[in-house]
Amino acid sequence: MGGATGSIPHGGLLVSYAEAANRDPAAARALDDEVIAAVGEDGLVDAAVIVAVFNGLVRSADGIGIPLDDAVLAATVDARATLGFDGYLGAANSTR
Amino acid sequence: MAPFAPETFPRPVDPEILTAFDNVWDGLAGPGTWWTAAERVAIVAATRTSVPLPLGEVAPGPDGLSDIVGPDGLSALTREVVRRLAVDAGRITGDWAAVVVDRLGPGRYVEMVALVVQTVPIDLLCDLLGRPHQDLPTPRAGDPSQVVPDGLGQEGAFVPWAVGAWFGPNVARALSYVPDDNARRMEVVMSMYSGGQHFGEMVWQHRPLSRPQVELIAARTSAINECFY
Repeated sequence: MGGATGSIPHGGLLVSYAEAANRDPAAARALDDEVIAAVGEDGLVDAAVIVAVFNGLVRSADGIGIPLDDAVLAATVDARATLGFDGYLGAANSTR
Repeated sequence: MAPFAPETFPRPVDPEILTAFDNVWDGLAGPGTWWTAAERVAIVAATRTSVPLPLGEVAPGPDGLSDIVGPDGLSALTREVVRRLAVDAGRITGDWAAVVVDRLGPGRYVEMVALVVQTVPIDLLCDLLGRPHQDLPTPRAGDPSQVVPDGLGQEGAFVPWAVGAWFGPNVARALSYVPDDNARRMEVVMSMYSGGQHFGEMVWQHRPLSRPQVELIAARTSAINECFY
């Protein structure tokens, strides 16, 4: 844990933090020291902020059935298929 | 002291974010567009106590749930809608939403979504930083305005939203049925993520993490929640 993901510094650690923070926020705090060592205390808070705000955004999208914006819909055909996003239940709501 | 004063957090949080949180709490305490303040606070309380159903248990359909208000100020229907939004949103379907919107009305449903999506990020950030959840505010008296904004139309979402001269991303107009709550929600989003003028920039230097780091965390969070949008 803690390596880069592609060219993103500390990407592996940040992904691990995001996964822990989403699944068990209290347990995610066990990673605090490691995240601080990598990106500083402000970076840890920033990572927590992003996990938190996106937990609101995903509920906005799923609760309202937001259609994918036209430009994104057109630009992500291959990526959505490759990554399996088209199999999400919400895909039926967002690609009408 | 403001509810989300900096000294109530164990780590430094951007003051702009804390101001947005304070504004959410102030808005929560007042009557909304479709729910009273007491009902709004009850909805957030229910959000906090919502849990996923045990594996294998089927969620009750919204058409069979009672709309008789219980001692917590909410009906069984409202409680289940809150639960679905709070902890099971990835399984919301168009058919489910159609029944709920038909029974509650679009305004009450959108305001419920607005309350959940304003408060889940606040509570989650508190959890991640080791801060207790903020006490819920004391509801103020007053009636919901029940004002439907001009310029709404049905354009692909479960509910009517701003149409016509709309040029922003769909997520920004998602809650336009309840403009006051939508404004508070967008203040939360702007302060925590998109940062106004920085959103269109590929290189971010205004926050501790780089834009690729931010987007990596955001993408993983969306995938874990199985959010297609």
